Amino acid sequence: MALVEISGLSRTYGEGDIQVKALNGVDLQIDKGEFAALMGPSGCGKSTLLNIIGGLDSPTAGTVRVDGNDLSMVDDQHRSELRRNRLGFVFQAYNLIPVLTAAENAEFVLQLQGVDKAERRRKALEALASVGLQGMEDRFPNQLSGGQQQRVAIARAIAADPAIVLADEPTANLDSVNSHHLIELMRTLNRDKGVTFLFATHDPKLLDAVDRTIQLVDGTVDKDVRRAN
Amino acid sequence: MIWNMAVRNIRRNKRRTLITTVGLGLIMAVMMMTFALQSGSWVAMLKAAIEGGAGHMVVQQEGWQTEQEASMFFDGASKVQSELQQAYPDATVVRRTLIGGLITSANGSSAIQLKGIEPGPERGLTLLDDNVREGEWLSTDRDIVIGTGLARTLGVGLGDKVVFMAQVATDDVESRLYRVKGIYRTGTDVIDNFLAYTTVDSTAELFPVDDPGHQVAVILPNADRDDIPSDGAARVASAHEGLKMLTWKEALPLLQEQMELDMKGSYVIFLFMGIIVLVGVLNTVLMSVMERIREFGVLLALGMPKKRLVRMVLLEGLLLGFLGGLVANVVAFPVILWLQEKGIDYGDMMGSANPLGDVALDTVLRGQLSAPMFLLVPIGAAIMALVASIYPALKAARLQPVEAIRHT
Repeated sequence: MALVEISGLSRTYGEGDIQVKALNGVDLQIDKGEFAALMGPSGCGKSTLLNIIGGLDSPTAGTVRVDGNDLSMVDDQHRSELRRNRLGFVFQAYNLIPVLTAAENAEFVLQLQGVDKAERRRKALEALASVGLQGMEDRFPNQLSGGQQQRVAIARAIAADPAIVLADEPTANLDSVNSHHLIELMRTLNRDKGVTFLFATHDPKLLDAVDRTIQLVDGTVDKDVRRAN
Repeated sequence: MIWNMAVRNIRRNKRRTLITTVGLGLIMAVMMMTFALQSGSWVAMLKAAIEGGAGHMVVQQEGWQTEQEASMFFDGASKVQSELQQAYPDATVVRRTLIGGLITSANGSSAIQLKGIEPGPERGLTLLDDNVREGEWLSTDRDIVIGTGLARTLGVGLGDKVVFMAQVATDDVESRLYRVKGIYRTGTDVIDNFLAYTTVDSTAELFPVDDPGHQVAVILPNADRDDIPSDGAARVASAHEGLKMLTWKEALPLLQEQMELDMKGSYVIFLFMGIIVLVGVLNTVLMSVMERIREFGVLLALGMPKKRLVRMVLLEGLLLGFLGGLVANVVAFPVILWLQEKGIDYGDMMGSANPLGDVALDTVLRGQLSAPMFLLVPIGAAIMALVASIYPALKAARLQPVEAIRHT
């Protein structure tokens, strides 16, 4: 079943004569349980596409349906609700909330959802355990290494059981060992727990690990390759 | 979690929080100390004016207030006194006379005002007995107490004879012999040079009636100055022809106006200080918002409702203000306590500046510790800081997550 359905999607920045087409008529479908990556050179529109799927940016033309919601039809508030309830985000620079501990960061989205304290604690600890951070629940981000911080970011993204996790260059700030471990971790979460991942990445190791690579060139889908498992 | 985040955000940049809260605290502490001194001085002034002057209520001849002529006495002052005492059993009710005349000694003379008072009950009211530097306070009808300036003019000391002469009701000049019983110094020239005190009974000899008085003053214990129960005194006054009752506000209209004007002036100053507090908090909260644009972008990207983000930033401002208010309390409390206990003695500076004219004023300026102020300042500061944080909070909420996350 299609979790993300994109049709004729365009995104243009700027006005008048100075216009840049970041996306130009993208058609794409991501199914539940996929482990897929958007790839391509810098400026090809990977992050823009990820942002639009994540409800962080709006298309200039075309339609985007995420988990049954047509993003072109909803206002800011509903997009915020969708992000809170159905989407998980992992950013290149980890972007943890510096004043919250690892467990509190993992709990954050659950708290926004209004999940009661005991339940969100349980889910947050479970998520942290699944990324291998048992015993580090009470550490603040500045007491964790880069790799550990990105694991907390993944725990935060998966703790609330999102329909899809959108990860923008998740390994770009990590060394090769941490990058390898993180890719293994996300792969395991995908296989064992059925978490759907969509990456925007240049990282060859991550591209080797995904089941599907969607190559963007100049704002359009150039190649869409599925790897047989 | 919003609360936790706000508290931790405040603690995050400890130096900035410290500088801001101490800065705000010091400004507010100055406001508190100014207010304490001002209200302390007004309380002292009103107390002196009421107890040593008009009383909470005063019964006197109609027109006395403006003329203050010795001839405007009335007979039967003791009767009026006992009627007022019946109407106000707990009050101190005193008779007074005030006569302008000439005082002479073997070495000199001077024009003065002689105040006839009841030494016993007035002892606890007027500040004069505390200011007696040589000798004692009045005890018999032969005694007179004069100021240091007058003693110098007359060239007299304790036990010396002086004669007071005055025209009260007729063309005849009446005179009375006194012995200097005490010499006081208040620091106010007009009192120390031109006023003398004796017993009201001794002045009776100067009047053509047996029981004269210019004023009968009622001083209530623990009275609410703004709500004087004056009906009883008004009834007593109306039962005697030509007499009128005035409350202290009517008897001292200028003092009341002056106090209100002074307080209004202070409120303007406090308003400006409040604006400084407001700008201080605005600056800090705005700076902390601008530094965290990326973080706010993440919060919004994760689905934090904008209203919640606004609440968090407002809470941070509120906490900053409240902390500033607490710092103000910590700084102001011991200073105001000291001002209340010890005060600042400005006696040597007063000279002719006594705003109460011929009523002795405590020359020690004392602060007044007010419990509500210590509660209101942190609350008021928190509210002001909350108002100052509205703009930064809205600025944070208006951020577009996709742009904010890219912010460096």
